[in-house]
Amino acid sequence: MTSVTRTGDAPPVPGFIESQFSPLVKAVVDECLEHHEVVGERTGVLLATTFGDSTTTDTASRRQLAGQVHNPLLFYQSVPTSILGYVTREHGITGPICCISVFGESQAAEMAQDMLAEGDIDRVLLVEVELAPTQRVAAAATGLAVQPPAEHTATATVVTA
Amino acid sequence: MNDVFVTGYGIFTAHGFGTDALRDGVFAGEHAFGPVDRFDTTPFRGKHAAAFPGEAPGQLAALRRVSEAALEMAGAGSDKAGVFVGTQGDHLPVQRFWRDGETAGVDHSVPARLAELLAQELAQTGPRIAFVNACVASANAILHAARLIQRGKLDVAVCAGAYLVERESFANFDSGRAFAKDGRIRPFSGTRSGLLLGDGAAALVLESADRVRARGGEPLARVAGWGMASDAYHVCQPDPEGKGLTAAIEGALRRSGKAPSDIGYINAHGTGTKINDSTETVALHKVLGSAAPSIPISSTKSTTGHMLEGAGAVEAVISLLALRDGVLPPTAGYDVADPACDLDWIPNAPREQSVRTVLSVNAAFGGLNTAILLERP
Repeated sequence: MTSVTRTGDAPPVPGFIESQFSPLVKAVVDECLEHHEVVGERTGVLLATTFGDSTTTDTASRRQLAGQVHNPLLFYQSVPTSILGYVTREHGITGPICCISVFGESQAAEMAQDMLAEGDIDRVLLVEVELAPTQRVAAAATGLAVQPPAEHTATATVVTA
Repeated sequence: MNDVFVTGYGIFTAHGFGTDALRDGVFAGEHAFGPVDRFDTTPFRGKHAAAFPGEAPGQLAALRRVSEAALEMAGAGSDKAGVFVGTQGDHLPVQRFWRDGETAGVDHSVPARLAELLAQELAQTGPRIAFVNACVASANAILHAARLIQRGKLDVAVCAGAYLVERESFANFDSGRAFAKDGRIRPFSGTRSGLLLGDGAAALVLESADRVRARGGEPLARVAGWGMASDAYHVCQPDPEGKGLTAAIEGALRRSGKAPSDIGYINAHGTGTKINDSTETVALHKVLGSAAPSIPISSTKSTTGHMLEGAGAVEAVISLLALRDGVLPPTAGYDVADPACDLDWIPNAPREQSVRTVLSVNAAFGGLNTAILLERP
């Protein structure tokens, strides 16, 4: 099992602004696959997060309330699949791509095994990403069993059966 | 391997709650588009959507209502169902938080929390997962439940999805100039100019065939096959050769043991954008081959609007109803033929046609594609 973890900020990705969510995804995937050959059609991707790209969500919401014109780049990055379109092109991955929001890492690991068990693919690139909380996420997380990390964190792991 | 049956469903679109609203709207080819009065559209170029009149219910309320209807129809009597939900989280509490500082319900903006709360309200103790992969999210929820049930890992699942028209997503699509210019979605038509958003929530109860038989239940359909694949092409544009969609449909056919000619109806993704509809046509030609011209296909987004994370579940229910009723829903608003979209789109009027197998396909930003094949039990 190959695994890479990164915290803090990541190098910028053209077309993705304001938020570290997508750059972190790209950074850990690139590093994880640097020395790990994948067969595109036999590889799936599972992106797991609890709170998602809260920076993009909250930035867009606050800009709107301030009467600012909406930035179309925030549209494209408002869903986590967009950056996966970017990285799967770079790495030639054409298997299933799944993005989930769950509480806890074990559920994501179990789901990666469920994807493998079908037999269509023999590797899942599991990407777990969580941003440091915005004010809204801090409020939303009050009382929840899982809390956001103090700093941006992403991990990419190549999971096999 | 267990067979997977659909035993119940619940449905909400801008046409209203329930099957009759779906028959009177979607299956009659009546569109639900109109000027949005749910929020101020003054700052935006677009003004139209398919929104149910009045205040939008919260996502949790809509999901609960369709899920309860699905469980009641199924009569499954389970308290251990998995709850799999396609949602991006509810954006209304995000707006209220930043506008008013209101924290009540702000946890509903976290997709995982929404799935957890839905499971609690349905009194189901099985696994719960929120699928957040945009326009294939609730199709992915169905796929995942089917794979778990087929392998005997789960007996029952509620597979749901919801999107309700709100200001945040409206602003997103408006900024991307994605909206149709004439207030209508005209999928596969030469005059198509983009998509419009729509309210949509649906839930399907999936059960193992063994369980349905043991309790004397009546299946509505069998989930015969499913497939999922990606384009590896672009952040927000589909592969012009339709590689991912082709692979997803091939996967569904392979898993079901069916041939393209077995498919009696296809509910297309059909967003009404220039690029989606032409590439979807390319993919359908490629995967269906000589059978393609004779298979009736429609995009029911022409009546419901694009329901984003809810689209997969809503369109699976529409496909299911086509199978059950022997009526194929039309592509509404179809006017001028486009040589790049040269298949049978069931233009403007429903078609009475008995079918045994139906296919529902969806696609999302990043090049994600899903295909779900349903057949009569």
